Amino acid sequence: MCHACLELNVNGKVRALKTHKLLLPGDNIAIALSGGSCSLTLLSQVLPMRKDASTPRKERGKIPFGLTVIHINDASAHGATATEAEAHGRAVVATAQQCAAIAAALTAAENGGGVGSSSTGATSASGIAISPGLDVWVVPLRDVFLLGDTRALRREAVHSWRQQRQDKPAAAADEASMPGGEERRDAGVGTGAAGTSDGAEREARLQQLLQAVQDPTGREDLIQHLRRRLLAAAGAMAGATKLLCGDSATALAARVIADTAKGRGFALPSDIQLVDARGAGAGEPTFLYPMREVTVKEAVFVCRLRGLRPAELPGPLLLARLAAASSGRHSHDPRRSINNLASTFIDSLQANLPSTIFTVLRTSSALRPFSFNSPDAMPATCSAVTACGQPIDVKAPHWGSTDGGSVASGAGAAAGSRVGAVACCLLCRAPLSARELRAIAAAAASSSVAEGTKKAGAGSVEVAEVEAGAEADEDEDDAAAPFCESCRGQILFRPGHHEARGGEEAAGGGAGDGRARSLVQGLLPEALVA
Amino acid sequence: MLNRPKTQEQVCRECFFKAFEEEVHQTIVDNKLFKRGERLAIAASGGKDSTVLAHIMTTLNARYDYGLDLFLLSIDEGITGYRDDSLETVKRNEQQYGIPLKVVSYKDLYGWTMDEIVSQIGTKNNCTFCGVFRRQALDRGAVLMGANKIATGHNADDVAETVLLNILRGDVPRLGRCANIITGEDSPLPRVKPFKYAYEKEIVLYAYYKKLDYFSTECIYAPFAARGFAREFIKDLEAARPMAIIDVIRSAEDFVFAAASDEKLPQPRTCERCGYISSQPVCKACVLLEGLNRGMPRLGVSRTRGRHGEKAGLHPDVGRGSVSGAGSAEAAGGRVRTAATSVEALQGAEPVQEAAAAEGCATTSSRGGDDGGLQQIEGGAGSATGTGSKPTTEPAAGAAVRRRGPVEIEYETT
Repeated sequence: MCHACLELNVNGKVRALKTHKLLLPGDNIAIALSGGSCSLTLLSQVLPMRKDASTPRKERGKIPFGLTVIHINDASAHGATATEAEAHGRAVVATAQQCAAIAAALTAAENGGGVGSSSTGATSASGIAISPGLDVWVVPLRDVFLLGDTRALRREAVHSWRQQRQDKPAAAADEASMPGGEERRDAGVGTGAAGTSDGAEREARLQQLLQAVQDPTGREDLIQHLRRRLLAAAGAMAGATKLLCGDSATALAARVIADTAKGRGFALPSDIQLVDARGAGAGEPTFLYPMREVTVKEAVFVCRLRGLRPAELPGPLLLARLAAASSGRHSHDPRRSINNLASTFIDSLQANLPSTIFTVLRTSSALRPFSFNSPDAMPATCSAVTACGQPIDVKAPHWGSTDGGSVASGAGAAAGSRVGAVACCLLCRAPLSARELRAIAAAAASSSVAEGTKKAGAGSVEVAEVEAGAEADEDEDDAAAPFCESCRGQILFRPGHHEARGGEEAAGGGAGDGRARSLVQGLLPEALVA
Repeated sequence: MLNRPKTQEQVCRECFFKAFEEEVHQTIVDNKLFKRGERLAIAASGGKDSTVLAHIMTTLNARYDYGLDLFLLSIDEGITGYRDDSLETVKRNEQQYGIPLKVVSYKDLYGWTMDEIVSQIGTKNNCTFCGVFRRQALDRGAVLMGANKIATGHNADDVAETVLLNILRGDVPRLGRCANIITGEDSPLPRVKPFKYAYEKEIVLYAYYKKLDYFSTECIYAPFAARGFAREFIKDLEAARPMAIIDVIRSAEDFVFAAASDEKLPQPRTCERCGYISSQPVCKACVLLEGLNRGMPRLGVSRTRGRHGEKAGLHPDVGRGSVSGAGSAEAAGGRVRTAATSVEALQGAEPVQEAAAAEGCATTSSRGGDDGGLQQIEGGAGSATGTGSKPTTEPAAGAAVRRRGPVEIEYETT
């Protein structure tokens, strides 16, 4: 395929957003930028779709929408040191700015050097100053502990913004780009110092949480779940109604295989569709995956063609460091993660048979998607800027109401204001299957009255209470917590639990392990499990 | 003391045996696999899975009084160096467990052994032939012996590999069915997999420690199988997380398919040639056999479209004339007769006189008992084959092709 065709092809897939009316004028959207080639390609394709706000007249084929770029910096979760994580964050920002500059240059070339972007927009500064501005918001993963506290999140946002624009007269840009008042700027200045120390504490909590998960796959998945929640919250904060993620077809195919291997067959269709409006009821933006038909290889080529250089974490280096540094039990964990296995598998098959990825995706598209996967489930764009108050988690208490946890009739979600109540896991938001729901209900029903104080329907974080209880009670309470089997097995509870499922009973779990059972649950950010 | 592969628990030998047997019993009870008084055919190849299956079924039948009437059913595909050795093992099993044995061979049923087939078509698609033929052979053998159910030794690893394979191949209908523990429950001969949740490693351990007699070489044509990739992945998965195998099976059980795909699923009907269950007008075995007989090895294997865009494979009207006599016999009831006529019908487009001759044998055999009948059929079929169906069908086939026109576009000679 020649270069031009490739670009057109990929471009076409992203532009399909517009044709399907998923991207409308007046929208406020966010793009999740990991720094990798796929999300970078996505950014480079979306930017040209954007109408330059500098001219009031309509431009052909362009839509005026507000854009924020969000980067969740999870480098530290993968073993990078603080300085490396910072450096990675900065590298991503730089890549984004470069992308914007290139896009601006292209647009300028298209317009014949016309109004708007300067044709010399080579330097990022001028590019930003003149074009509507590319807001890149770097959010470290540790901020997932701030989830319930939107003011604190905003404070961090300002902080990171300020850090980016340190040497520029940025005050104007700040005010213009962020909807908000004076108090936040002051708060930012005043609590700048406080912010960093809290940051260190949050970082420590994050590390502690991750270390508590013993299964390597579980740890990776936990990072992904936390990322996703943080992304949603950040998007809501930025006032975006839609959040575009650059998940490629390759990644999706690997996810199909990995999810099958984790027993997530019921929830599988919810994660691989174009639209995911799970959090809409809580004011979170709808996730869109326009790159789901583009393979990693294609994305890499497009980046190269456009002169974009993705900013990636030095993967092997980090892995080696993790292996060397971790203590005793994990010093040489020969278990590879299932995610890793699945993507190697897909890659090796794809090398011999290039239709593999698409066949896998076609098979998985035969699975029935959920109600929140339909574009009808997206909230109407007029009510875009929802109040970013305390998110009401509509998922938690609806145990009894959902009939076997199945889907509310899909397309009927009227006006898409509230997604039909689908019972979901608290941690990973996977829809719970009938079997899982039955198990939870049975465990909840059989737990004694004393345990009633711990909300039997929702995950409890009162670790102290739980530890005080008897072994049997702990079992039931854990079993009554609304997590999907996969999260339960690989993230929340001791590794032996997972294997014990194969045996007839989980008895003899060991007194010592009782505490470990709820340890991870207790370490989770409160807002997630509240 | 040993480490149980499924749960990584440390158990002693006796406890392992007990746990393993209990789990199989639990599977049988939870899924209501059997009813009292049923006659169960245990598909026995002489390999570890079927040997352990025979052993366990005999044990559990006695211990929990299932009230089942067991017998062993074995298929001879005609693979020298593999199948003939394993058949010896099955014959020994017959002595050891005290249950009768029935052997059905491809040669008798279809007129071709696997060795002959591979020499005709090469090693690329031979698993297709073997699998399709074996399934029919099992069913026919079971019917001949008057069985109500067939039990196969498919273990958890097998089911997991099948799930993965179907995802990779894009076979949605199969994907929905492959994780079922009972398949074909509405048919006269359902198949059950009592070992569906039993790990292959545990089966091997069980056979080893119990010193069971089994044959442990893999099929000589196996390295060419596509299942190999899925198998490797499953092994890696097991190393990463032992429960992952069960998780794959559970995922497949939990898959909910969109309604749209249901409408396009083919409905079961019967083959017009041999009366076997089929989703197409002519069943796959007949198609494959036709291809073999006419020297068109890709028939039924590669995708082709007829001249008018019809589906690949045999046109239902082909060869009608020769088997029309047999067709009326098929319509009549009686399992033995159906089997008998279908045996000869499977020979494909035969000249009319040979069909009549075979039919003659069939009618005589239907009067005999089951076993006797089969022997006579074998004799009849043997003679039909002996008279050289291949050389004689070729001019007939050539005539058939000419008559029909170029229906098959692809025509490869090996």
